[in-house]
Amino acid sequence: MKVIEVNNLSKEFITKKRITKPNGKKALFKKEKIIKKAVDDISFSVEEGEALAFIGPNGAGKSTTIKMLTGILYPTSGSIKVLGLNPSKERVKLSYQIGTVFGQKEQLWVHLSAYDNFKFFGSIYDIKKEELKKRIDNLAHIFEIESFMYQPVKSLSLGQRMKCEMVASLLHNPKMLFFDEPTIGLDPIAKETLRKLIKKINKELGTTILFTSHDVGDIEEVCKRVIIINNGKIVLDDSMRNLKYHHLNKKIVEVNLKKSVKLEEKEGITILKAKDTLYKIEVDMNKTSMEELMSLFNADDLQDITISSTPLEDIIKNIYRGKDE
Amino acid sequence: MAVRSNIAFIFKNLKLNLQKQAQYKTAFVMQIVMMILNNLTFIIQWIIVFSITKSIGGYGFREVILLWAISAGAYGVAHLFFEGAFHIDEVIYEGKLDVYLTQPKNVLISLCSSESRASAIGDILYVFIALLIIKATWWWFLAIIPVCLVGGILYTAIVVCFQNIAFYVKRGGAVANVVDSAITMFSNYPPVIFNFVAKLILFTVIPAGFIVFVPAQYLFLGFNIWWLLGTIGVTILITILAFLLFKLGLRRYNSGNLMGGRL
Repeated sequence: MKVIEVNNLSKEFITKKRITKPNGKKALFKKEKIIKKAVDDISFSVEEGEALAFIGPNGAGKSTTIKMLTGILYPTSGSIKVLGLNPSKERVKLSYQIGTVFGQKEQLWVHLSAYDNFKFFGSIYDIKKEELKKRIDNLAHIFEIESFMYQPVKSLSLGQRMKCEMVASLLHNPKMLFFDEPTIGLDPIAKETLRKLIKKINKELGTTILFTSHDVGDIEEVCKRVIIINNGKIVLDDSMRNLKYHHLNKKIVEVNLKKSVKLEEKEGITILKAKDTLYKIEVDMNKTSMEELMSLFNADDLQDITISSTPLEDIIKNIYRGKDE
Repeated sequence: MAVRSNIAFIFKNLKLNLQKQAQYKTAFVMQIVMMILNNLTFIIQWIIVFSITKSIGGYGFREVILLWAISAGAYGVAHLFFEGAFHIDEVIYEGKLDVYLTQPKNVLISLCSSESRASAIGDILYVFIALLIIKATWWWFLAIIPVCLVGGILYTAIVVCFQNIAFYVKRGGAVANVVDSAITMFSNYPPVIFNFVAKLILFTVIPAGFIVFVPAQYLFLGFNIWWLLGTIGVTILITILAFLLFKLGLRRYNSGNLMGGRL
């Protein structure tokens, strides 16, 4: 069953810019209208229970799309159905069935404890006291927040706060969850914990999840399907497996050795940069392995090593290049 | 049912806001006490005025203090329960409405009741201190409660109507701030000192006349059921208008990506 149906959705923002006179000076009052298409004619659908990643660089249109799906923004054109409802016209009905977490905007009152916040959210969603207590206990156990949920939110770490934000968004048993960059600003360990929890919510509670991020690492673990958006347009709508095979197959390895050595390129191993004892190497995981790379130098000479995925911007460039070819 | 649920929600917000502010007990109490003292200084001002002249257009010391009491009460109710209404333009400009838009409660009610001003408690307490000073009859103490509640709602609704300009004009809330100051200023003086044009404005464009003058004149100093029913009618009308204008404005809301939380 389709829980989200989006057809030819667009959103324009109008900004005004002061006109530059022929003499180069800016006009005091005269302004010209600039129309920016944040979302440009996109269509997609999401099945019930699916975990979909919506990724793209900053300013790609991810948050704007999520805000239209949750009823925060009115679309300029196109149609949206979320759980059979029109978010712009049936926002209140929809809000009982969805949960939202915005990484950049906290919904919790920071001076109060997370527990007091949960009670407040319970009253927003008209949940009865006994039922609310059961749900808080259950979610507090799943998210392992029992030890700090009675502390004021302002004293919690960012990772702990995000866990509490998630619990607050789940209190009313939503059928769908919208996560807008929930891992923003988190350290790698906190990111990993949150990713696992999101996966758990999807698997154990069967909640449909729409997840936006500009970090490819976020989605590798959590989602089976991915939509890449750039300049307001969908550039890829594919399974995570295909994305991994075609675009996430290359790793960037930076090594620092004790002494300078002559590294030889092999199939799937490209030396991008070599300066003194520092080397930047691209490894195509479809053609070779990390073991093969490690065999190029003596492990005892290794001082430092960093392995990272291809940046999202490069993946998008590759997708465009592939389309052009 | 919806009305009851919304009223309960307003009180829940008030409780949390006061709980939040009461964390800093001394500052909390000081704000209340200082507001009472601030209001009391105006009584001294009027004592001096009425030592020079016996009355201003038929209004003596007792009547003027009654005006000040109703005005402080309405102001207190508005800022205690609906402080958020006075910051709508900032919320719109900074794109901070998102949190309220994803929740099932009425957005305007959520926004207005999201903040409370502790000093407003001082304004409300001052109402009864002022009535004690003018040795008001017992029923004035009871009647002033609904008068201040209705006045507070009307005052908030007028401000919301003008705050809505922020949906169309950046920083449009400046107009609402001027209206807000005008309401506070004009409500504190006997209506007789204003000319016809000023009175016309105070009963039409900025219907502040219904917040203080009408209840003072037609409930406490004389009785006219039609003026009193008219006040309730105007309050309902302006409140509906505030909700409609806000709903209309929401279509133009642009959101934003500023980092922030609920303080």
